[in-house]
Amino acid sequence: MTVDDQKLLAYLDGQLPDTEMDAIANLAERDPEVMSRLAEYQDMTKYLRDRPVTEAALQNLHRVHTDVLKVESTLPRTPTVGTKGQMRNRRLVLVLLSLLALGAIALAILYQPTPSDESSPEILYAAYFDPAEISFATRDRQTDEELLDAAEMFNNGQYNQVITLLEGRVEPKARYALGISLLDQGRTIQARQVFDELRRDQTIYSDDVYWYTGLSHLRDGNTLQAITAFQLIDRSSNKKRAAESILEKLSD
Amino acid sequence: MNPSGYLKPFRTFDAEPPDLTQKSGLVSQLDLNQRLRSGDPELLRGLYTSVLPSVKSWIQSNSGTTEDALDIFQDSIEALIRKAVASGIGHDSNIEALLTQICKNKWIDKIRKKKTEDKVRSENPLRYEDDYSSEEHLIAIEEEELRQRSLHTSFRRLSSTCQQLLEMVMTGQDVKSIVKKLGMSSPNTMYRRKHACMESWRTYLNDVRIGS
Repeated sequence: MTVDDQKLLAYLDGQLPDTEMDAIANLAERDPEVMSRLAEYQDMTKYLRDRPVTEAALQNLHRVHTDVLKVESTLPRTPTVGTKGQMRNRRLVLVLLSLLALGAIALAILYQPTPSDESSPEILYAAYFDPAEISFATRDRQTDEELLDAAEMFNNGQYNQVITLLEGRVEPKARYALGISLLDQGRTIQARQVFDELRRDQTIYSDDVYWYTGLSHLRDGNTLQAITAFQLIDRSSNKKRAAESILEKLSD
Repeated sequence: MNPSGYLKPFRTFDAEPPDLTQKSGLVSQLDLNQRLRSGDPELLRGLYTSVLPSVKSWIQSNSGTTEDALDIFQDSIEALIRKAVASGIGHDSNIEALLTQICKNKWIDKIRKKKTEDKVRSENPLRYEDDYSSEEHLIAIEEEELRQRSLHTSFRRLSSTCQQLLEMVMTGQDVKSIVKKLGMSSPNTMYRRKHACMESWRTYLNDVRIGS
């Protein structure tokens, strides 16, 4: 007997009827593979439950470490002894280093500061990639089981499985969901190809397509292309506000 | 040239090694795990006072700087804390000796990364050579660190909604409030989504493990 992960997770949540709970417990005793999957899920659960405790302890460590660093910075370094010639050389090195430092400061003033980690493209991508749920409405008579399954998986965040179901589909919404799923899986070039096709076909997803094209460039670390895509989003689009927020962060 | 043909052996401590015939004088073993789990500042400060100086001197004697020593020391205490939270540290371990050995191994690993493959091979036997503490504990701590890093890395690959949902569920937040906060239609949707997120996480976790 095989058992899928959904059932194992429902078992761990205690959401199955008693008979099924017993069946899975028995199966796990007999089948090491099932037991191993259960153990893995329990391990993941434990990691998340422990996290607040670990984080609090690490914050204390950080505070103590910072105090130690302050003390360390006040400690005198062991002086090194050298000949007069060596001392002269050292002074020369110090002067050169000071000049270099001054040059670096001047450059820093002349040029834009580099973006902080918080506004790095990859982090912005992670912060803003959060697709809305989709549905393939039943009023569309073409709707079939495959699309319904794809929508369910898409809404559950199982993007790798969505790709399998939707590759080769021609419906604009299916292509749209496919593009987002490819993007989530890091297949950015293919995702952009899908988005380009949708834009060329002038579907209703044009603005969303600019949005996700921008995100795909962020994921690749290409800030300039991302900015271009975000700027193309129409003012009336519901993505405009988010795009403006990203543009603002990118300009920081 | 030393027998390995490439590397000078690491210098050992000038100072006397910690006394392993006694349990740590710094803390009672009974509450050691509890104090590490809570990140007890008194315990942490005590460790910095009693162990850092010898670690610093050893790292400086082995091509490192004070800053290197401080970084390694912080990482090592973090590893101890993670192990204490996850499954506890063995009651027969001497905390100072264990911490010292973790620091040394971390520094050796760091140096090893900088060297060529040949040099790495010649350096391998140096790990654990100054075995002041139980090798079993050391391995358990290193494994726990690796396990936690894989869990952390794979978890961070999930979408922000998934991360938020799992954190809320695991920290025991009320189902109704989670459904409301995340704008879901029903508790059933939430459980379905949670299960999907856990499945994705497990897939990523296996990817990370294969990758490492």
